[in-house]
Amino acid sequence: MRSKIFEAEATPEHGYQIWRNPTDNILYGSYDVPKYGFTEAGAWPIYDVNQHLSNVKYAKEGKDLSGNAFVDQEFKNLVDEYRTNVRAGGRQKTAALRSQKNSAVNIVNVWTEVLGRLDRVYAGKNLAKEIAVPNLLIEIDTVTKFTGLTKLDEGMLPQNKELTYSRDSFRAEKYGLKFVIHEEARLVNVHNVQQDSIQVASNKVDQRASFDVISVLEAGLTTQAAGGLWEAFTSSTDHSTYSPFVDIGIAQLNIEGTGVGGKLDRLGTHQLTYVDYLGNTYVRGVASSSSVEYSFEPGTKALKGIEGIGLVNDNSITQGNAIATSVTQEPTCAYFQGPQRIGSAHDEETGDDKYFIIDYHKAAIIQPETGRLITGVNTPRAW
Amino acid sequence: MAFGLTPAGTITKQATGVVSTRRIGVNNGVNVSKGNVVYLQVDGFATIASSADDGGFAVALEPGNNTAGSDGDVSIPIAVGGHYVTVVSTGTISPGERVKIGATAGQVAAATTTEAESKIVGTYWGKEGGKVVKSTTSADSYKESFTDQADFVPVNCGAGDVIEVELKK
Repeated sequence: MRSKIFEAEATPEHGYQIWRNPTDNILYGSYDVPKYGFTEAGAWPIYDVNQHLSNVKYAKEGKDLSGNAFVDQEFKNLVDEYRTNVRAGGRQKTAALRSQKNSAVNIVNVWTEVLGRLDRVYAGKNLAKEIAVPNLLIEIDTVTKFTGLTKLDEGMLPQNKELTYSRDSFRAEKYGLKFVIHEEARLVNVHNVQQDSIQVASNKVDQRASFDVISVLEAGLTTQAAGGLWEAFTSSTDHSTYSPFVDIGIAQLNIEGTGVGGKLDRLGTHQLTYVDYLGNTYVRGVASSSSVEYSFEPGTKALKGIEGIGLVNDNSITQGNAIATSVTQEPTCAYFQGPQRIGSAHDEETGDDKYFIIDYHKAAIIQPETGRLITGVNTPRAW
Repeated sequence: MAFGLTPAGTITKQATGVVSTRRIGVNNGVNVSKGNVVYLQVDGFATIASSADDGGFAVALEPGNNTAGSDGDVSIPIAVGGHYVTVVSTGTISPGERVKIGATAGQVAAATTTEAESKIVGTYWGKEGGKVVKSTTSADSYKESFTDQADFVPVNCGAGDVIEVELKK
C-alpha cells in the first residue's frame, strides 16, 4: 500500500497534529500550531521524509535501505498496527478502519474459489469428424465405386462402367441456453455471478455435442455382436475366455474390408468397459507381474494393444458397447458445427442481465459402412 | 456438485413490462413454500391453494412462514396470471393440458375438459430439458443419458416433477 504523508492534522483521538518542517523535511508532531518555530511549539520529530524518499530510491534500485524513516517509535508502532490490520482484513477491514460511523464491520471470510463450477471432460465428440458449416446446410456426396478389371480377348472392347454419385443433405439444428443474473444477485453476491455462470455455461456446448455424437452412433451404426465377454475368465484357469482383439479385428475388417476404404482409428468405450479390456489376458498377458496403468478420466488417448487406434473414454457410452469408427478417412460420423452466437441483454428497468448461447450443430452418420457398434462386450456395472 | 434442476417457484420466461410480480401478505397460521400455488382469500391475504379453492391463483416465488404471526406479518413475492413459472405436479399431465390444484395443496394436477374455469390454475407447457441423468438399473446398463425435452418436443410430466405452467390470467 503506497501512501504519502506531507501535512495532515492529527485526528482528535491522537491528540496531536502532524506538520512538515520545510527546512529539514521531517514530519513533526505537536499539540500547538508551530507559528514561529517547531521548538517553541514543543514539536517532536516523527517521520523523516528525506529518508523515506531515499529508501524508496534504494528499494527501486534493489539496494539495502540506508536507514529508517520512522523517527518516533510510537508512531512507527501505530503504522505497523495499521498495516497489520489492513493486510489481515483486506478491503473490508480497511473500510472498517476508515469508517466514520461503523468501525465494527463484521468480517466474513469466504474463500474466493467457488466449488462446483467445473464439469467433466466430454470426450464423445472425438468419435466424429468435426466439419465446420458456414451456414446451416451442407451436402455430403458419396460415390459408389465401379467393379474391377475384366479379362479381354484380342480386339475385344471392355464394358463401359461409370461412377454413381448420391447426395445427402444435412441441416444443423439450433440449440440455446439462456441464464439470467438479477441485479440483486450481482450486487449482494460476494462471487462474480456472471463469470461463474459463463464458466458453467461454457461446458454445455461440448456436453451437448458429446451426447449427440454418442447417441447418433449407438442408434445408427451397424451392430456387431461380441464373440464373448471381455471380462470372462476360463474357469479355474488364469486366462480370459475370449480375446477383445477378435471383436476389434472383425470390426476393422468390416470397416476397412470389402469395397470400403475407411480406417478404424477410434474406439469409444465407457471407462468401466475399458477396465475389462485391459484386464483381459489377451491384452495384458497371462503372467504379467504388474497391473496395467489405467486412468478413469474421460478423454482421448491411445488404445493399448493396437497401434494406430485412438481410445475415447466417455461416461455416457453405454457399458457393453464399443464404438468403432473411422475419423481420418471416410469418416463414419460428422459433427457439423454451424455458427455460434453469444450475447447479452440488459433490462434497464429491473437491472437484470440475460446471457445466451445459440449454437447450431448436428451429429450425423455420413458413412455408415465405416463404423461398427460392437455390443455385449462386457457386463455393465453400477457406478 | 452435479447438475441441479430449476426449483419450483422460478419464473422461466420473463415477461417484464407486460406483467410484473407482486408482493402479498401471508395469512396467519400459513407456511408457504417456494413454488406453492397460492390463492388470495377475501381478506386479501395469501394461503396455500387446495382443490376446494377457486382462483385467481398465483405462485409463491419465495417461502413465507407465518405460522406464528398475524395476517400479513410475513409477505411473499408472487407470480400472478400471465407468468410462466415452475410448480410441482402431483400426477401425469400432457403438454398443453390445463391444470388445477391437485390432491396435495399448492401443487397441480391435470384438469378435465369439463373442469370449472374457477378451478383452472393455468396450462402445462413442459418441464426443464437438457438433463443429465445416470441410470441406477442394470436394464439401462447404468447409462449416463442426456434428455432434451423442454420445448422441442415437450413430454408428459409425472408426479413430483417440477413443471412449467403458464398461469391463467
